Parts: sequence; structure tokens; C-alpha cells
Amino acid sequence: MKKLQVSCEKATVLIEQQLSGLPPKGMRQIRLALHYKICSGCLHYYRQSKLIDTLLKETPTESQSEAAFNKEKLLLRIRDLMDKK
Amino acid sequence: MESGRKDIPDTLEVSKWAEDFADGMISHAIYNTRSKEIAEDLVQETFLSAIKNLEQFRFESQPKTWLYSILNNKIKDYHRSAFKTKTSLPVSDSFFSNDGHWEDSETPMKWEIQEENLLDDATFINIFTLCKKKLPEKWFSVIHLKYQENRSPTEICQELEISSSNYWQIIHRAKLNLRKCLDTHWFSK
Repeated sequence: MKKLQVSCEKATVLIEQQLSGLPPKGMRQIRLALHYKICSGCLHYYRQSKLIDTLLKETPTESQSEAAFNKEKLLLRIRDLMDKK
Repeated sequence: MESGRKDIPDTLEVSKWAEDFADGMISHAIYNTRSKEIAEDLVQETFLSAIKNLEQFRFESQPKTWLYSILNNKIKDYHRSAFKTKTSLPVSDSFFSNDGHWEDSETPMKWEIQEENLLDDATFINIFTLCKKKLPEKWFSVIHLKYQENRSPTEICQELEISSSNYWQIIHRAKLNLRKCLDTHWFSK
């Protein structure tokens, strides 16, 4: 088995930092580049993680249409609180 | 001397604010918390705080701006406390072997995709949304602040009172689990 300079676990953390605009520097950068050359799994992970970043940015957390709010209940509570004040 | 203008809003005015702004506030809170129930609580608490502090409101201010600033503080408090108190659901943690390399069954394989088509595919987006919902509640605050609010890692660590290594561990684990979920439910099907 080829000797990898960084483990895949460490490489994927570095990939996440790279995708967040914090690329590794110096020896770490060289080791990650070397890792990509010999580890197709991490190279695929990099591409897939980039896609997931796009999805996380582009898809909203929750449908805003779920906001059917019981406003009457809130209004009653406000009136009640204001009367007590 | 009568100024002809009230300095403090009354019941009717606050009720009108609720009529005018509650729907938007609840949408905003759902977007930020992923939960309708929590959003409703936060909006109620916002009005409760507003009523308690009506003396601080000045009519030259916009009530909407004032209410949203209270709500945003409530949302921040929610994320901070959710991060500290929520327990993590079991998620996959067996991606790597003891020496830190991919487990054979977990090694990423090539996805045959055209990204632009995927984003328009409602079924795929539904699956992705379900995958996101499977992530532990505790990680949601970090993911939401990073991807939806565009906060920097430093800002997120400060806001949630977590260390930088904890932050990267959460991002890393969340992405590994999302990748696996998409791989299982879409790309390997």
C-alpha cells in the first residue's frame, strides 16, 4: 500500500477548511495535493463536498409556507398581558 | 403640557403590530430554527419582551425594526442554548478505520451528475432536505449559521461559544453524513 502523507480522515478535514476559504498552507498543502494524486476516494469526496456546499447554500432550511401561525392566540395573549400591565 | 402624541404604545397598537408582523416574524423564526413550535414560542416571547419594555420604544423608530431586533436576539439565545443542551442523535461515525483511512465500504465513489440539473430536480432536493433533517439538532445551529447566514467560523465559534476544533469537527461530521445519505438514497440507487 502506498504511504500517504496524511490520513484520509485528516485530508477530509483539510478539504472542509479549503472549501471554507481556509486552504492549508506550506507542507500541509503539499501533503494534501500528494494525497489527491494517490487517493481517488478523497478526490471524489472533495468534488462531492463542494456540491453539498452548494446545496446547503441554495436550499432553504424550512419551507416558509409552514408558517401558518395561530395569530388569534397571540393577540389574546398580548391583550391579556397589556391588561395586567 | 399635552404634546398631542403618546410616548408609549397601548394595547391596540401592540395588537396591530402582531396583526401586521407576526406572520413574517414566524416565517423568519422557522427559517432560523427549523421548527414551527420553537418559532411560535420565540415570537410569543418577543411580544412578551416588547410589552415588558414598551417604555424603551420610541415612536420615531419603526416598530417592525424594533420587534425584529428583539426576535433576532431570541434566535441567537436559542441557538446558543440548543447547542449546549441538545443531545446528539446517533449518526454514522464509522467512515474511517483505526489508521484514519476510508473503510472499504465508505470510500467515496464517483457520482455521475450534472450539477445544474440536480438543483432543478424536486425529488433530489426533497431527498437532500430529508438528509439534512436527519442531522443531529445540535449541529443544525452551526450548519445554519454557516450556510444560510454566511457567518465566518470565528463569528460562529463566538456566537455558540464553541472551540475552533469543535466547529471543524461538526462541519466535517455533518458533511460526511450528508454525503453518505445522498450516496445511499440517490446516487447508489
